[in-house]
Amino acid sequence: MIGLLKKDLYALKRQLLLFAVICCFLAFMNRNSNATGFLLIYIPVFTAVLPTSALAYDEQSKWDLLAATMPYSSLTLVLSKYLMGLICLCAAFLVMLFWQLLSGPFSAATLLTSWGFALAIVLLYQAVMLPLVFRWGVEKGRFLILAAAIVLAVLIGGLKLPSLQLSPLNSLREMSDAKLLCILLSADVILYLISVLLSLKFYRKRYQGA
Amino acid sequence: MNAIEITGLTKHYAGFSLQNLNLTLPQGAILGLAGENGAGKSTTIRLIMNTLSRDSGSIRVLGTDNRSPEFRAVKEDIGIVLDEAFFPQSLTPREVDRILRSTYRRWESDVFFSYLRRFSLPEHKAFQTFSRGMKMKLAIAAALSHQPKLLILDEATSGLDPMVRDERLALFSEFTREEDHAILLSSHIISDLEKLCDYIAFLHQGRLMLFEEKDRLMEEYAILKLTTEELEAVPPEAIQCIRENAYGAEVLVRRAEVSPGFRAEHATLEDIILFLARKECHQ
Repeated sequence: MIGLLKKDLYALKRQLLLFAVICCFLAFMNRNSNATGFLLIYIPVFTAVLPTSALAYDEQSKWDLLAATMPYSSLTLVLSKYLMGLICLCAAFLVMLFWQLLSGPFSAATLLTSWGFALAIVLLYQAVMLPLVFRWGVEKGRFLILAAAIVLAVLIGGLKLPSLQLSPLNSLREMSDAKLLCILLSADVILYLISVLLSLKFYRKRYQGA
Repeated sequence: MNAIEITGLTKHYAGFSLQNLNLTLPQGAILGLAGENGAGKSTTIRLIMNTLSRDSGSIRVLGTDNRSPEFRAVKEDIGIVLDEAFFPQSLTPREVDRILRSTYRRWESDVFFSYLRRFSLPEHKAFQTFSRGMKMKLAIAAALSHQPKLLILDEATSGLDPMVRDERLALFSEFTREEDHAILLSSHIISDLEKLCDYIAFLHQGRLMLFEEKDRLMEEYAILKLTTEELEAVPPEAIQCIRENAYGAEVLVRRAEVSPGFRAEHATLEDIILFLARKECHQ
């Protein structure tokens, strides 16, 4: 597993370097203006796509074919991508904490709530995206998630269907942030587990046909 | 114990079938898997590594069924070079060492770096800047640096210039000095197989046309260049294949079954394989 994680980090080193440069640039800019909000979006978005980027590099170099011949189990090969996503997420929150400390006084409750929602969205994205990529590859996987996001956005926002007004979404809106966050994160954990199992199934079908 | 035992292996794709393949690679030997592009060589290798499902048949590698959970541990003993070196483009050989050190229990960094020096590969240059020859050298160095007992090389010498190919062949030959080491080498460069291999298997359109000890093969077959009249005097049971031309025919025969009166010429491995690939031999 450690070998696979190292491989992903080495393969992503350019992107990580670019990320560090952008953070430094924003830190510099933040001397005169408050870029905290932008960073709160940028860092989780950047982190969310890292496992998919790692899989894209694997696909491009055909590393996946080579890795399948190494003494790793299918579960290890699949889990390494999820674990890499979680490690990057932890690192991202450390960067955000550091940023927040530099930016001056802040409310811990507000910060934890906004981070919690960011975490929930990133986990949801990874849980949905990774099985799609293991099944159809990076290009098709990205297209499918984009299509799904557009359909969802149209349904929720654009059409304002009467049925949706009556749906459980309304009761979610009325909940406190903390309660909503707990529900979202619990759902994420379940989705994450289902996602791992699906990815494993797709991986085995692709490389062992079992 | 055999290094590889394949029995009744079958795999169907749309437009291609690997049919009832039976092969054995004894320990201490080198088996050359010849065949044109698309003959089924890479499919066979993927099936041996169990990275592809089969329709039927069984495969044992170093005494272990390759579908059993124990096969994962056996992979520690297998050094593999695929038809390209599939490392991510931004990796340097030094990073490859760090990754594989955490992958193989018996990884030897000093051996890996000694191969890098022997192959004149830079440690810190990104893989994407390497030529095909350099990439293949890196893959070979990686395959040899974790004390493998079995080397599986899929077109590992194709695309390399003759001098580099010769060096690689010498290296593989060195590897089989240990009596429990074995190599499966797939290639469409027959001259490489002729130089190196103890056994030759020839796949043609997914069918095994030939599986024989190389020396026996070279002793057994000969070529006769005959006029049409002379051809009639050759015993039919001796004839393996006939290639007719404007002046008569070239005939692949079993040397033992033709009288010494015929001037039998030495058949190279390439001759034998080209003859066998022709339709006339299948009838």
